[in-house]
Amino acid sequence: MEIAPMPYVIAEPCIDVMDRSCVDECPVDCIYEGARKLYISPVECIDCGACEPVCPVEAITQDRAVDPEFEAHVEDNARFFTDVLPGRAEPVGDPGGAMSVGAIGADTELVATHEPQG
Amino acid sequence: MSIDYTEKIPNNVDLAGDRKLQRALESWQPNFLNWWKTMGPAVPTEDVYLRTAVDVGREGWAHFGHVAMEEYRWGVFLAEQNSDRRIAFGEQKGEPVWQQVPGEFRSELQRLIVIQGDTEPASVEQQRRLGETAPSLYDLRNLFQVNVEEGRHLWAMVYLLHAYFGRNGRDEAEALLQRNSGDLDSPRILGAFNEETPDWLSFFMFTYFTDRDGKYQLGTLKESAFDPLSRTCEFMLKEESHHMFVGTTGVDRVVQRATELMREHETDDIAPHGGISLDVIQRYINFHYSVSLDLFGSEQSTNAANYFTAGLKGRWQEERRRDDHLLTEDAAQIEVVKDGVLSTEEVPALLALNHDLRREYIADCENGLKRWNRVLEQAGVDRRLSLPSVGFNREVGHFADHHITPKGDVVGADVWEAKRDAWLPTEADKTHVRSLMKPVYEPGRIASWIAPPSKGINDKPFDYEYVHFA
Repeated sequence: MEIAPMPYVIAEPCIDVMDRSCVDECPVDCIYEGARKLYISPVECIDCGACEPVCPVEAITQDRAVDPEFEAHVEDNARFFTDVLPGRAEPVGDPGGAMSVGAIGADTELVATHEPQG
Repeated sequence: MSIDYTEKIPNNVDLAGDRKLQRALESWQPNFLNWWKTMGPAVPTEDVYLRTAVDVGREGWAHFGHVAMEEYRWGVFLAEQNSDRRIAFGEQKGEPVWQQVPGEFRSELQRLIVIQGDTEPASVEQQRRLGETAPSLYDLRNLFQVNVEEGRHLWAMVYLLHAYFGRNGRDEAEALLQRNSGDLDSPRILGAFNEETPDWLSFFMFTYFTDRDGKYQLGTLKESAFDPLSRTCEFMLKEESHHMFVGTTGVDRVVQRATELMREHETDDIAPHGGISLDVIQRYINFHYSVSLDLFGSEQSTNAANYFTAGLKGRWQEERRRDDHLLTEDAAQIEVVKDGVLSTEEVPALLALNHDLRREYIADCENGLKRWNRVLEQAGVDRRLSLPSVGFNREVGHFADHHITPKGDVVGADVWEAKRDAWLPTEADKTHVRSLMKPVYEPGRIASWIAPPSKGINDKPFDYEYVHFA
């Protein structure tokens, strides 16, 4: 599946923090919960920016403003929805809202293999 | 502090502790309600399923319920105060933010607030009659949500004018209700807010392109050293997100429906089949995008430079930028017409702040186009929508003196006029779109020219009775 363009991206500072303030702010419920990190659905995000200022660890930025150190998270955010994650039979896809599917409980390889932090 | 809903004017600014200000705002309130009755939504309703702000913190800031619109609790809500906040840019960078207006910046700050405030009631006026042709109850409810929150944004600006700008501020607050969108004698200040919003495609384009300008303008005011303005804009941005949701998903659904009709009838010409063709959608994009670009002002602006240096208005994401936040030694590239072609020119970064903000906005809009093109791609349609050149159809700034095609070619007036109907909505386009605007008020039903939403509001189904009519 083609990777969708990313409007906003959640990067490394979210790993093992998962404050979830952004989940409460999102007007379209497009922030999904992995096991150690949150992920923004590139298909469902409307680029409104409501999530960005509420993140206490400044993990969220627009795709074009991601710290070069965290560049890998741009594509990785999208891969959370397109790849088959460990323990799951099919990709998360575009469920149309995080609340309806609950916590996914799995991460991309990039996040799953990241050293514990926080 | 939490929002006090026992007061006549709900607020979290301790209005009860300032009787003079409270009386002033309470005397403005009937004028606002009278304006709402005469210039607000024209469709009579009993109640509407609306979101109302109840807090500004992270413990849930709004609740949903059916309310009579004229009883909506418009109020004054500022984001929580950060007592350690410091000025992030300009000559006073690092100093504590201001809780009162410094005398030397009084007129500039008042002007910024009046210009922002003027846009809020303007859009309500522009959209006044749209409810008469809503494609579904879901969309009608979304229109009204946008309208009541634009009304609340007016309150937000009027509070600042009353609380911090004395007699002049009160006079300006009155004037915000006296100017009207499109009024020949007393128009709204900015051009885009005097344009008609005559149909729902225009409404979705407006809430995508023009409300997105609002996101960026409020984002720069959120950086202001004048802390009450900063906190006001921070909370307004929360509500503005819904408006962008309406625009983004609205255009999604028009494009989606166009692809369905194209497939069903095996033609791009879906007008006879009750749809809006991709050609027409493209021309609406061209128009709304270009008039929204004008809202950013001239590419080079000494006013914007002065506002920045003084700490009145920052850049988008000022505190996250990695520079000296003074910009006195920096340069920026701006687009210009040079030797008859679009080119770039280096100018002092301080003078190019409007251009800097516009560039951020354009990047957002490019994401929107990618999103709508994804709808086309998934439907197997080869055609793609695009943003016109930054110089296309401009009436403000450097490009106002040039004729530039959507592809960015600089042409003569004769060529531009000859091709105008291929690039901008024609009378025939508008007439066709208007002909499709028939109200669909039955729960769960929707007009022919737009696809239903993928989900309802606040987990309610699409067929929920979002609006009860009077």
